[in-house]
Amino acid sequence: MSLTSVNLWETVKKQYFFKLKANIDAFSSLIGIQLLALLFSFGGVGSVGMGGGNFSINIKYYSADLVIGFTLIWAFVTAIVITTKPYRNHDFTFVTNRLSSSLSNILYLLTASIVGSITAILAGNLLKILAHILLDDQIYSFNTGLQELVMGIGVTILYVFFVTSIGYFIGTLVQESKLFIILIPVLFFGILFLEASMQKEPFLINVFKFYGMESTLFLFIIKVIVTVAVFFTAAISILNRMEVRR
Amino acid sequence: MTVLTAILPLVILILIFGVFIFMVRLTRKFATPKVTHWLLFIYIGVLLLGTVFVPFIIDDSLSQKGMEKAIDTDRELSGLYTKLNEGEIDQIDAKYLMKESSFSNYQNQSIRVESSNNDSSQIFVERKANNDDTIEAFIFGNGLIIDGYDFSRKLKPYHLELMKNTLTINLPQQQDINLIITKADFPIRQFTGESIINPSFSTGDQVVYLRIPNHLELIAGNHVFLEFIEK
Repeated sequence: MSLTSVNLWETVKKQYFFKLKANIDAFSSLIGIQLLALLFSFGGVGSVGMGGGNFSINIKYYSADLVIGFTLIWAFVTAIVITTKPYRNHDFTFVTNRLSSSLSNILYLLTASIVGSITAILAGNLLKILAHILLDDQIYSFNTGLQELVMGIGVTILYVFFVTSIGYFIGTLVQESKLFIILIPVLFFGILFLEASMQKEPFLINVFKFYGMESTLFLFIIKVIVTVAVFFTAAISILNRMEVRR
Repeated sequence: MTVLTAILPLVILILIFGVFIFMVRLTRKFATPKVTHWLLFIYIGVLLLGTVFVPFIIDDSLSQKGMEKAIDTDRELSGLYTKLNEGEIDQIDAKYLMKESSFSNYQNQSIRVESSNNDSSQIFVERKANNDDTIEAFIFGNGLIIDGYDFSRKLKPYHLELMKNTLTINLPQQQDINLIITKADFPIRQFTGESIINPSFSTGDQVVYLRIPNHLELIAGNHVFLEFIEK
C-alpha cells in the first residue's frame, strides 16, 4: 500500500505535459504534411470554365480544403500511433492507471487538433500569398471576415478531434487484438463492395451526409461531441479491461 | 473602419513579434529548444505573417450584389431594356454604362452603321431635337456577375470607329478572362451554403445607344438592327 495518495487530475496533468514534450515530433510531421498539401493546392482546389459571346472565363478557386484534408489524415495516424505499445509504456514513468493514461492521451489529441486546425486554416492565407507572388495575378476574395475565420477554426477543430477519436478507437481495438488490423479494413471495404453490389446507397455516404451536410452549426456541434464522447468512452473501456503493461 | 483596417495588420504584426520574442525567452528559460520547437515557431510565425499580409494582396473591392439582388438580375435587366426603349438613359444605373464616346463635327447628311457582329447587333437610336453635328454613343452591358459578385470591369466594351460616313461597331477580340478566387474552406462552406462546383453566372450582350442630330439619315448595314426611340 502506498503512503501517498495521488490525485487523478494531477497525474493526468503531469502525463499530458510529458506527452506534449515527448510527442513534439508529431508536429514536425504536421508541418511537413501541411507544406505538402500547400504544394498540391498550388494549382487550385477547383476550377470552372464558362463562356459567353466573345469571351471565355476560367475561374481557379483557392482554399485550404486540401490542407485541412491532409491534417485530418495526420490526426488519424497520430491518434493510432499514441495507442501503440512504445507510447503506452511512456505512462509507466508515472504513477498511473489506464484512465489517467487515456485522459492525458485525449488532452494531447485535443491539443494536437487545436494546433493542427489553426495552422491548417492559416495555411490558406499562405497559399493566397504564394499564389499572388508566383502566379502574379490579382486575387479576388469572397469571404475574409473575422467571424468566418473563428467559425472555420472552431469547426475544423471539431472535425480533427472527431477524426482523432475514431483513430484512437481503432488503435485501441488493434491493441486489444491484432486481428482488428485485418478485420477493420475487411469490414470497411467489404461493406462498400457489398452495398455497391446490392445497389444500395453506401453507408459511408450516409455518414458523410450526417456530419458533412449538416448546415445547422449547433446540431453539428452536438453530433460531433456525442460521437467523440462515444468513441473515447468505448476506447477507455477497452483499455481499462487490459492487463497492466500488456 | 478603413483606418482600423489599415492599422490592424500593423498592430497584429507588433503583437506577433512580441509574442514570438516572449516565447523564445520562455523556451530558453525552461528548456533547451529542439529543432521541432524552432520549426513550429517559424512555421506559425510565417502563417501569422501571411495572415497579416493577405488583406494587402486581396481585391475585396468587388461590389457584392448580395443573394437577394443576384436573384433579381432578370428583373433589373428587364428594367434596363425598358429604359433604353423609352430613351431614359439618364435614369439607367451607371454600373450598366460601359463606355461613352462622342463624334463631333459630323456634317454629312447620312451615316452608315456597320457591325462586325455576325449575330446581329441591336442599336437604339434617339434623334436629338437640334442639329449639333455631334453623334453621341453609349454602350450598355448587363455586366458579368459570378456568384452574385460584379466582375463587369473585366469585360471590354465594343469599340466604335467613325471612318468617312461609316460608323463601325467593332466587337472586342476574343477575351480570355482568368480569375483567381479564394473561397472559404469547407468547414465554413458547410454552413454558408457556398459551392465551388456550381457558381452562378450571368452575362449578356452589349447594347449600343446612339444620339444623333435630328436631320441625319441612318443606313443600317448587314446584321444591324436599328430601333428608333419615340419620345
